[in-house]
Amino acid sequence: MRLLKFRRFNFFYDPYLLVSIILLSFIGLIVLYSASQGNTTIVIKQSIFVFFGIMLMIGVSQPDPAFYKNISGLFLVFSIFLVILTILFGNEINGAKRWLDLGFFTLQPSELIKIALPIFLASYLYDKSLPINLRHTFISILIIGASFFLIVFQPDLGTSIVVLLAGFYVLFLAGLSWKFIGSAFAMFTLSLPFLWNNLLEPFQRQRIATLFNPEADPFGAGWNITQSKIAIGSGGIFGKGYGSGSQAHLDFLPETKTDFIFAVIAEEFGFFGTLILLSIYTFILFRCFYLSFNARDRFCRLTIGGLSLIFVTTIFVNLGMVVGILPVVGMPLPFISMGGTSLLSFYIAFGIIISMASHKKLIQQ
Amino acid sequence: MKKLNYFNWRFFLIIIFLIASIVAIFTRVIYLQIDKENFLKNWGQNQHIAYREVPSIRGTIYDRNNIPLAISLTHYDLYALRNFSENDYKKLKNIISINTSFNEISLKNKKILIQKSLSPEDINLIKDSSLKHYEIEIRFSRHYPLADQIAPLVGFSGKDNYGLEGIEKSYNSFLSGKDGKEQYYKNRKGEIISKAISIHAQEPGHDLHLTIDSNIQFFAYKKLAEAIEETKAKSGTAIVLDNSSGEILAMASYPSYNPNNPNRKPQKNRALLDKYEPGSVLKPIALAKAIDMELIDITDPLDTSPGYISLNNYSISDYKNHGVLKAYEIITNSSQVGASKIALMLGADNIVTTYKEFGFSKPININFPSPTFGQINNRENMSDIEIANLGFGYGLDASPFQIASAFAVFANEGVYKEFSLVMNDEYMYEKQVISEETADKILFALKDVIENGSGRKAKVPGFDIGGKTGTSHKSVKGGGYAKSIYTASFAGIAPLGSKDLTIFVSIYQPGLNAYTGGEIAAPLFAKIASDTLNYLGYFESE
Repeated sequence: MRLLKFRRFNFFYDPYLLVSIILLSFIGLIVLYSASQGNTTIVIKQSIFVFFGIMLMIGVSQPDPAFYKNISGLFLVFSIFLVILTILFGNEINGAKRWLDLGFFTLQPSELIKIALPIFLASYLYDKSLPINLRHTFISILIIGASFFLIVFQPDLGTSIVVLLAGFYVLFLAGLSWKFIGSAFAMFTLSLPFLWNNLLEPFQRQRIATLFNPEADPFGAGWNITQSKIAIGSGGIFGKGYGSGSQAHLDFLPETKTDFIFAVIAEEFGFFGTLILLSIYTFILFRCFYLSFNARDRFCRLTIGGLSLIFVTTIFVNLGMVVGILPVVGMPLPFISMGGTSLLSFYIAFGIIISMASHKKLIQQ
Repeated sequence: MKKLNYFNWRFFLIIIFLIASIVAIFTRVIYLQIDKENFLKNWGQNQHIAYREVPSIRGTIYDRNNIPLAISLTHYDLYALRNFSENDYKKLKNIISINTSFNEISLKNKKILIQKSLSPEDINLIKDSSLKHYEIEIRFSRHYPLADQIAPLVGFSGKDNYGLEGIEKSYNSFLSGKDGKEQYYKNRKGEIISKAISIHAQEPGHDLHLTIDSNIQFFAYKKLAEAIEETKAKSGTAIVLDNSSGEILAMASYPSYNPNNPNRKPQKNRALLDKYEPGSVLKPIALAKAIDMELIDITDPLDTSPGYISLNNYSISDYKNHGVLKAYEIITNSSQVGASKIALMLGADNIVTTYKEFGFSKPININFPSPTFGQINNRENMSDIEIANLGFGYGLDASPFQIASAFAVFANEGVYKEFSLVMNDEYMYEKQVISEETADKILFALKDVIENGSGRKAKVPGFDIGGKTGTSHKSVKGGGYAKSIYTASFAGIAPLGSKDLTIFVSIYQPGLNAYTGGEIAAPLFAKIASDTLNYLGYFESE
């Protein structure tokens, strides 16, 4: 059914995911034009990314999932290598080394780990007996922890937490024992004060404090979240109309092209706009869950589950930040925000998900 | 299947958690976009919408011949906005010549003035150029072409287009119009980034037409100023009234000031704001009432000998014993004794009522900032000396304008009129207070004052005129009169044939030995009357 037979090769695809992701990408470009205040250069550049991203996704969905099972270790090692390279030679922006300048493209390797880690863990854990014994748990945690701390020291708290969660999701789905979860949770709670004081940078602590009381400093630390709330609220039910968002167009709203692009959508398209966008995301999510349940094997199930949970976590962190229920962490809105690596990694992720979805029937035949 | 289930229920747990997250986001979006919509919308608008007043032009004040007395000129001032760069400055310098250096502009970080009062050509050049970060602001300046000639009457308005003195103040709301309001958008840096949208347009102020004739005003002011300088007096006023139309033709006050000078020192309008005991100039009023009541006729004899009269242990005396006078000769000779006897003949009630009918002790009907009006002694059981005092113009005080208005009754055939300062003023009060015959009889007496009495110096060659002199002592706090401080006044009607004009002049505190109305006020009257009659084209009756 999800196979088109051509004379020379088979074409694997999932119409639901393909259509909704292409739709999201177009919405993203349209909103970007307004958010960048009609800057066609930016929109053209992003269109090229989107085009290659979609091509990449379609390309990635052609090989059999077994291929990804085999190269997952290599992929993770390569990603970690790039992160180390970044820490050593990366471009320093605002005190953080997150980017590798490749000339035509600025790569953010931590975004790749976000995809590589769950695939690797899925391939490592899929054939282990349940519940996962202490040794495998320990190895998994070691890998997750190494990835996590590498990114923490860039520093990039947002991505590192997503990576942590990515590892945890797969571990949890794979059958991590409750005893372990319970004791880990207790340890985490107990170490919170220590983490707060030692792991978090002062500006990160400030962001968390701001979340609970943005009015304390509306022109300083609370500026972003205050302006974002104004933008969302000003949209009302029907929005101010495309290109008419005063918050974005008069420079009140920060980071309109990236992290806060949802506020632009909310201001210009109102509640209906946000409803449509959230519906598309929800649709993609439930399609992924369906595919996960009906996956052909445990590896595919774990991979689809892990990747789709990363996807929804990214959305939640971004939207939570923009609407003011989570602290401000740099996290793009998948397929909508401008940005290179994050976008490409999600195209890759969905390419793999589509591959796992569409190759299923072929094997059963 | 066991494995699958194991996976499933964990997955369901996560799905429940994620659904909770989506619900949380949705709830928050609904809260912001629907519940808090108006609050946040207003907040946003307050951030980027700003308002600007558009000043309205103030109405012109004209005289009766449409000569401007106060006029607003429009200026266009060029301002540099906050981000005016050196590049902009060079650009501007290529377009127009400017005196300001770039340092003066760049030092400050708010909008500052580059050039005042641009010419229309310069404005067009700037508007057609690609220059940015500037603003042209409209400013109005007020000019008073007649300057000090009429300043105490017209007054002036301040920088903010608000009347501060005189007619400019009392007619402020009529003249000033309504400022408009414009809305524009500004960005986070406070830069204006849109064309202004008019919320409501400005309404220009109304023009005001005064009854003043600026030529007559000029005569009155010039002659008054000369007379005051000559007599080394402190101040004075001259009023010219058009009797039949009930309009004020001139109202001069000295000393004056130049309202065009920003460092002006305002002087009060003495015609409307001074008040003093008028003295002998009012004698005809008591006589008029006595004639009107047929208590005496204009030629009936009245004995004033022996030149004084004692009342309640006070003595009232003439400067000489006039003996038996005909009634009109009381006016001619300005006899205190005669005027006292007329007053006593009338009695307290009649004389007080008469003065009130002639407009004394009543607020005046002119829209001017706090004009004054005098009081009259009208207590019950007045003693004879008090009644006699009223007969020759003491025991009440009045502004020069009140005295002039009262005197016009004789020219207006016995009708008391309120005189207006603004053209086509309705609601002016009129009342017959003495008969026409009585008024004519008083005019006869007033003519005799000029021909044979104290007012000889008021004579205008070639014209029949009538008038009355007055010399009053300045009252001093605590009662009694200061012997050396006088107000010399003269009220007259010219020409007697058509009875068109009432002219009143008063000179306060003359510094030389000549201080009586006959000596210093009468000649001033003659000069103003002569110029005015010539200007208005009256033919000499002889």
